[in-house]
Amino acid sequence: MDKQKLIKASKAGDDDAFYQLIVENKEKLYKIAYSYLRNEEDALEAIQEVTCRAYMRFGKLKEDQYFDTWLVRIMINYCIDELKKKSRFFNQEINLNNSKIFRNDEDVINYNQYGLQPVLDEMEPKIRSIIELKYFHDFTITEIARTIERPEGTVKTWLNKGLKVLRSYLEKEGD
Amino acid sequence: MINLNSKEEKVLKDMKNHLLNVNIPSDIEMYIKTGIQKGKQKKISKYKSFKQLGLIAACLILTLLGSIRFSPTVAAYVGQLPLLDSLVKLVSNDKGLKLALDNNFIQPLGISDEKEGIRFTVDAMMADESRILLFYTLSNEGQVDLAVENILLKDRNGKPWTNFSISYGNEEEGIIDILLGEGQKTPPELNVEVSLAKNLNNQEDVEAPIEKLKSTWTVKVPISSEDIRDKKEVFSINKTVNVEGQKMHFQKMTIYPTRIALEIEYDPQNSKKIYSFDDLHLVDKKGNRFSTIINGQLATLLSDNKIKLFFQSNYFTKPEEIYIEGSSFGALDKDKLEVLVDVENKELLQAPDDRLTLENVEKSKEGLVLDFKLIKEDEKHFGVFSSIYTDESGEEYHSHRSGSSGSGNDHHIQYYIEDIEYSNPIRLNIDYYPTKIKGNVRIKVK
Repeated sequence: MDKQKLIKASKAGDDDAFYQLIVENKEKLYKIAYSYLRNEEDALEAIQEVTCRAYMRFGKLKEDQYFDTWLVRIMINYCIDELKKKSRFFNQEINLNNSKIFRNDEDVINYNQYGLQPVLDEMEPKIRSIIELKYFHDFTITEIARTIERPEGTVKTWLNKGLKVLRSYLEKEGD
Repeated sequence: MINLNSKEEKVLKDMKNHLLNVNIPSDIEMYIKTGIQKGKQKKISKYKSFKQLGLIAACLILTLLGSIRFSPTVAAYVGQLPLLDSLVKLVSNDKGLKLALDNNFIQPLGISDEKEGIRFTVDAMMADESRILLFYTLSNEGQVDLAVENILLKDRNGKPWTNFSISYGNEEEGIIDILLGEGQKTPPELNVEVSLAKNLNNQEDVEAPIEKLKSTWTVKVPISSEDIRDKKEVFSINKTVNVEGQKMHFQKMTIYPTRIALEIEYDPQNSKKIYSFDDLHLVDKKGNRFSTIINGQLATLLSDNKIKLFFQSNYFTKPEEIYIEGSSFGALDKDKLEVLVDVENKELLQAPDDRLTLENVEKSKEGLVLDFKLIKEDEKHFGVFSSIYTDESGEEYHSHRSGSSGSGNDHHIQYYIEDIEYSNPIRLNIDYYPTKIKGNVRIKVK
């Protein structure tokens, strides 16, 4: 079945079709969840919860062709919420779990995967999302604009703002 | 045009390569299926009327939980309560609470308060002398996502209640788990005051704002002392075990319907401090095992040398014999519990052993970060240090943040301290360390 048919079938109440739609997106969704939440357990929980929310709100999806974007949007909202909750309830161990600044002044390559995590964690959620979608998940500006429902111009402005923050962080840390 | 400075690009690329290397867990489809089931239930609970819900609920819960068997009475009973999610979660995590449900140890209440078009209902309660579990649901006409923001407990005179600990989810249905502190008595009436927040998630805005609602929802929950009195069994154990020269005195066990409390005293002469019971469990004649509480409060410290440990309850199995069994305990020499760090020279002056090393001391926005490396066998994350530290002059400080990371045997611990001049060295206290003592423990309780 092609996607449009799957979406139609899902809307008519075919759970297998809906399952198929989520499975097609599982890798992308998992990676987005993982990039925010940083561990397998939480990322899987996110998959479950986002599937549930998408299932419940499926009727509200207006433009079928943007189903994938819509899913990503639900995932991002979920992740941002989770991070907020964590910092609200566990201020002893905020989302620093797993984030670590590996320092080696000579070569930035040695900032390993966690290099920018602390600064990403502290960034405004909307800006962080744009950077992650663009650089981790290879979204185009147009796709990002559609996902977060903002004009492309705004996306570009926010992206620039975010990169500036990263740059000044790296310069400071590299001194 | 966006100009990417090569340094940022490199770092972002590195991070991305790492992310793309993450394996997609093989059981991910299972989570998707569960998500769909959950969505189905919630949809139903939003649109169907109460009566219909009962029927559908009973069917759903039975198909969902193929592995967990319900007695017919419970299925019928559960059907009356719009509590699917929380009940499912509850029984899947705790054998004792599942037994309590099976034995209808649950009291339907249906007490609610409605304001701003939102109804907060306490649907049912499970209570004994040691714990009160309230099952609640939030419903509203406006179809907004709601979250519990805060819960206050007061006595019947409106005075804030004290000496208890409370935990609750922040979703539209869930459990308020109230654990009574030492010596606290179950009140005849509990005023539950709830503040709520509107989760604006529904609108799919990336910033997902949360808006706190002005009203407070209050329900008065009556707790009949007759229902809970005598619902416990107390066993005096008074046996001492010796594991690698460390003595533990098992004193008393109290079996309540919702949990079991076991009091253990450590011999003050012990050379090691014991901080964890890795596999301690209860077992009966038939081999039924009951382990410690998985989600929730594991233990209460009664004093430096005395602890109250909580287990899932076998109250309703009425076992003829009960044994406590265990083989591995986390323990560390008492003279090794302090770690000394010279902050200025970035030197670790004293550590329990060479598993723990100081990698760096660095400045961050939130103070100085002591970056430790710890080599250990498992990948479990835990807090190693307690949050209070002192400097050489005896001045006491509070670390407001710590974190851990790493994979395999290499574990990193970041401990944040204030960025000030210390009289060096500073002293950190170990709460937990991967050293073990081992020996077979088997004690007859009954």
